[in-house]
Amino acid sequence: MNMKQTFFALQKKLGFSASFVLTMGVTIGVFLAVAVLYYVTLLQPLSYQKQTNLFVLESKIQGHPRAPKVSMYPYPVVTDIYKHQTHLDSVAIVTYGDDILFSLPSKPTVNLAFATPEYFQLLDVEYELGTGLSSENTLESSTPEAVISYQLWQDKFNSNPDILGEKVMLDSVSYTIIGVTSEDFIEPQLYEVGLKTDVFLPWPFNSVPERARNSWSNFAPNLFVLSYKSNDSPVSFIESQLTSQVNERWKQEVIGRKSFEGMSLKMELKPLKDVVIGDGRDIYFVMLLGGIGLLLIASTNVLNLLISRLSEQSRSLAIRAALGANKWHLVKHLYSEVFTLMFASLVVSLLVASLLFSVIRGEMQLVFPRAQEVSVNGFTILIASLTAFILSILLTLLPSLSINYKKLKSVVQGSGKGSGIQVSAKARKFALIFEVFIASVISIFSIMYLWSALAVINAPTHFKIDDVTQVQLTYSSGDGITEEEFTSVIEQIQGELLSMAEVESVSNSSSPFNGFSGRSVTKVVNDERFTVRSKYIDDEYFTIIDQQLSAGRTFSATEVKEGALVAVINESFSESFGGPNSAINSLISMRDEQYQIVGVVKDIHLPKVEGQEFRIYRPAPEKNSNFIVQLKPGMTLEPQSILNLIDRVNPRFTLYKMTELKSLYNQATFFEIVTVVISTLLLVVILFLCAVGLYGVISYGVNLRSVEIGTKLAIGSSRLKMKLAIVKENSIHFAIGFLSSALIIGYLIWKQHITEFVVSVFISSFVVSSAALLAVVVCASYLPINNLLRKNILQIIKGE
Amino acid sequence: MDNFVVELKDICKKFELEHMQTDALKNINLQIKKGEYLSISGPSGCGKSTLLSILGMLDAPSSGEYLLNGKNVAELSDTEGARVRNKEIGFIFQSFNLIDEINVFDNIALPLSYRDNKPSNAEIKQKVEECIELVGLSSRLLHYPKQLSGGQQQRVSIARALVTNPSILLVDEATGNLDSKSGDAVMEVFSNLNQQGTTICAVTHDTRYMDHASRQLKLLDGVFWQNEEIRQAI
Ligand SMILES: Nc1ncnc2c1ncn2[C@@H]1O[C@H](COP(=O)(O)OP(=O)(O)OP(=O)(O)O)[C@@H](O)[C@H]1O
Ligand SMILES: [Mg+2]
Repeated sequence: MNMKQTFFALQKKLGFSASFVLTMGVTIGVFLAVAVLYYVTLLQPLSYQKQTNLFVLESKIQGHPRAPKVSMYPYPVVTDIYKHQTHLDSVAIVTYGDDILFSLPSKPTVNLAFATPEYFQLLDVEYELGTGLSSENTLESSTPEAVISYQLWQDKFNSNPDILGEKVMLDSVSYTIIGVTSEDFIEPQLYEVGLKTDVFLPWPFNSVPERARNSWSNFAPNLFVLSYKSNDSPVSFIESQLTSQVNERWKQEVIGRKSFEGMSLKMELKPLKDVVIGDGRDIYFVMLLGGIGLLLIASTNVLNLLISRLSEQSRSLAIRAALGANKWHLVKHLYSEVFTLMFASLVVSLLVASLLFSVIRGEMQLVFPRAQEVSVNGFTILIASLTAFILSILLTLLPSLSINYKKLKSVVQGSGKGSGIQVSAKARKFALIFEVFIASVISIFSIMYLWSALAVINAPTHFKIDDVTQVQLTYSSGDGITEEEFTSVIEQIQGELLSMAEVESVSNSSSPFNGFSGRSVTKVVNDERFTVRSKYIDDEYFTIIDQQLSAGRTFSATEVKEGALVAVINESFSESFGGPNSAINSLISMRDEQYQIVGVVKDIHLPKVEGQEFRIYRPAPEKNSNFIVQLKPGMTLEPQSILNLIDRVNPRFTLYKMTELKSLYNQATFFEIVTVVISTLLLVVILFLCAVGLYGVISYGVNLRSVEIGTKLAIGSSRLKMKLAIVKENSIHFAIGFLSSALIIGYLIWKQHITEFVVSVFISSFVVSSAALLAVVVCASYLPINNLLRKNILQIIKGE
Repeated sequence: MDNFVVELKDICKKFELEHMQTDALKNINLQIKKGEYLSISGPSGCGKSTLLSILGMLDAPSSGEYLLNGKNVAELSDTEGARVRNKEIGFIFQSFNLIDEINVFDNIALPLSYRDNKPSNAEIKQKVEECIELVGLSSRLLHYPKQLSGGQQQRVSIARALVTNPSILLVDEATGNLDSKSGDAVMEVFSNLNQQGTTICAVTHDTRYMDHASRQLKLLDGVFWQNEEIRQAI
C-alpha cells in the first residue's frame, strides 16, 4: 500500500473522490448524530452519582373516568409527604415558575426552580462558586437565598467572580446569591423538556397562591417529589405504603365533598431517568433506523461507484496481476483507496455531526430531553471511526468479489476481450431489490411521520390565531399594591391599548393556549361529577378569538364586572346535558358555588390534546395581568410602544411577555414542525440517493447487455419494445423490494396499537411511497436504455 | 532434464466464443534450456501471444503439461502461481503495459512490492537504479509513462521485467511498435542480457532480429514447423 501513489491517483479522479466523500461523509454524519442521540438519551446513565437510586414519586388520580394520565398533586399532599414520609431515604420537593429579574437593567425573564435543600444533595450538584441552599431552610422559615446557573452567571453577570453576596430581585423579594452551579451540572428537566432553570430559590418562596397552598382538591402538574431510595427496599412495597399513607390524610381532608367520592391517589416511584426521557422512546429508534437505512443506501451507491472505478482500473489491475500481484495484493490496493477516501469521509462526518449536534442542543432542545448531553466527544469519534472502518472493509471486499482473477491475468495480453471485472447478474438484482427495500422502508416511515405531524399541525383550532397577540404584564415594585389600584391600572392600560391605531379590540383574558385549570364540577340536578378545564374570561374574549356560539349567549360587561355566577360551557360538555339547547339554564356547582349555564360555545382544539375536553368559561371576578389584543388586519404591535404605554400609565408595571397566538401555536406544535422538517429532508435525500443508486446499477447492467440488445434490434425488435422490456424487468425488482418492506412495516404496526388513524396513515404512506419510488425506478431504468438506444445498432453491438 | 527452465508437453489451447471454436495452439512440445535465447516467429494470428501467455502463466492451457523449473504449474494455487510468476518470470508485452498513473521508478519497483518479504526501500532503490541503467534511461526515473517515447516505454518495461532477476524473460513483439532505431537499441539490450546469462524466449514476426537468437522456431496455425518443412509445405 503506497499512500503517496493512492493520493496522487485519487487527485486525478476528483469527481469520483468528491462523490464518495460527500455521500459517505454526510450519511455517516447523520447516522452518527442519530446513533449518539439514541445512546445518550436511552442508554447513557444520567450524570448524577446516585442516579440508579433516584426516583420521582408520582401521584396518579384513580377512580375517575376522565382523570389525566400525568402525575398531579394537591400542594398540601406534597408538603405532607416531604414532612412525614419515612419510607424513602431522602426526599426533595421542587416546583417551577418564571419571573422577571428586576435587579438587572435588561429586566430579563428567568426560569425559576423552588426546591428544598435536599434537591442539591440528591443530585450531587457541584458549584463553580459558593454552595447550594443551606439545610437550615425549612418549609416554615427560609432565608431568601439564591443559587444561579452557570449559564445565567455567564450571560447576565459577565462571569463576575465576586457575585456571591450580591442580591437578585424577583417578585418583590431580594435574594442573596450564595452559589453558582458548575458548568457540568445538567439539571433533570422534570416539568418541561428544554426548560432550563436560571435561578434556584428555597421552596417556600414559590409562586403558588396562598389559596392553592392550602387546597387539598386543587391538583397541579408542576409539583415534583424527587427521592432517594436505597437498594434494599423494594419499589412496590414503598409505593403501597406511601399510597395508603397519602390517601388516609387526603381522604380525611376532602371527606363529605361529593366530587371526590370514590377517588384516590396512587403513588408511583418512577426512575428519574424514565421521567427525564419521558414518552416517545420510539422516535429515537425510528430515527436510528432511518440513519442506518440512509447509511445502507449510501453504501450501496458508493459500492456502485467503486465498481465503476474498478472497471476503469481493470487494465492497471491486470498488469499488476501479470507482474505477480496475487488477489490479496489487489484487494490491498483497492483498500488503500477506499481507506483514504473513508478517512476523509470520517472528517466530514464529524463536521456534519457536530453541526447537527449544535442544532439539537440549540433549536431542538425543546424536543430532545437530553439534548445538552450530545457532543462530539471520544465516544462519538469512536463510533465514527468504527463505522468508517467497518464500511471501508466492506466497501473493499464487496467490489473485489467482482474481480475474476484468472480472467484478469489474461487480459493484459489481448485487448478488449472482456475486462476480468464483472458484477454478476444476481448481485445486481440483489442490489436493486435491496435499494428499493431500504428506500421504501424509510420513505413509508417518513411519510407516516410526516402525515401524522401534518395532521396535528393542520388540525383546525376552531378559533382565530391570526392577528391576535397575547400581552402579559407584571407588577414590578417591592411594595404591595391594593386590589383597587391594580384594577384601575389594568383598566387604564386596557383603555390605552384600545386607543392604539393598530388595535381593533382588547380582552382582559389570557389566550386559549393558557389559563385553563382542572376543576371538579357537579350537576346540581343529579350530583353527577365531571372533571373540566375552567377558564376566567371577560365579555370580549369569544369575539376576539372568534369562537362561535352554538346556543344561548355570552357574558355581558355587567356580568363580568360583578363576577356573576353564570357560565358558558363547550359543546362536548353540553352533550352530558343532552345537547347545547338543553344545557342552557342548567345549574352546576363548583367549590360550593352554583353557576347557571347561559351559553354553549363550539369546541376548540388545542394541538396534541387528545379527544375533547369538557370546558367551562366563567366571568373573571377580578382583573388580571393578561390581555389578548386583536389587531387590525395586517398590523403588528411593537413591544417598545407597549412598554412606553405601560410606563405612561404606571411605571411600577412592565411588559412581561408579548406573543402572537400564531407563535404560541407554533410553540405548541414545535415537535410536529421538527418532525415535518426531518422527515421531509429524509424523504428527499433517500429518494435522491435511491435514484442515483438504481441508475448506476441499471445502466451498468444495460451496458453489459449491449451486444444482446444490439443483436435483438438487428433482427427486428423495435426500440420501444426494448425500453419497455427493461422498465418492466426493473419494475418487478421494485415490486419485490417495495412489497416486502410494506409487509414488514404493516406487520410491525399490526403488532402495536392499531387505530383507524394509524391504518389510514399507513395506507396513504404506502400509496405515496409506492408512487414516488415507482417513478424513481421507471426513470432510473428508462434513462440508461434510452441513452444506449440513441446510438446506431452497430455501435450498440460493438459496445462502443 | 533438470536443466530445462521450461518444458511444454502436448500443450493445446482452444478458445470458445459463442459456438465457435478456435484451436490457437495444437499439441505444442517445447523445451528451453537455461541460458538459451529462443526466438519464435510466425504470421499474425498464429498463436505466438497465446503461447507466451501460457509460458508466462497468464493463461492456462486447455490440455497438456507445463513444467517451469521442473514444477508442474497446473498444481499451483492462484497465490502460489502469483508468487512464481513474480519471482521466475519477466514478461515484456507487445504493448508495454506500463501503469500510467505512477512514475517510471514506481513502475519498475512494482514487482518488488509483491514479494513475500518485501525488500527495504534502500534495496529497492538500488535494484531499480541498476535495472534502469541496463536499459540506459537513468535520467527518466521520475517521468510518467505518457511523457516517454514508445521505445523508452519499452525499455522501462524491460527494466521492470528484470528487476526480480527472473529465470526467464518472455518477450512479446518487443519491437513491433518501435521504429527501427529504437528497435535496434532494444534488441541490443536483449543480446547483452543473454550474454550475461539470462534465458530469453522472444516472439516476433519481424525476421530482422531472429539472428540475435541462439535457436529459432516457426509457428504456423498453432503448430511448430522446421524450416525445411515450411519450404516443402509451400
Ligand atoms: N481470448 C481469446 N478468445 C478467443 N480467441 C482468441 C483469444 N486469444 C486469441 N485468440 C485467437 O487465437 C489465435 C491466436 O491468437 P494470438 O493472439 O496468439 O496470435 P498472435 O500470433 O500473437 O498474433 P499477432 O502477431 O497479431 O500478435 C487467433 O486466431 C486469435 O483470434
Ligand atoms: Mg500477439
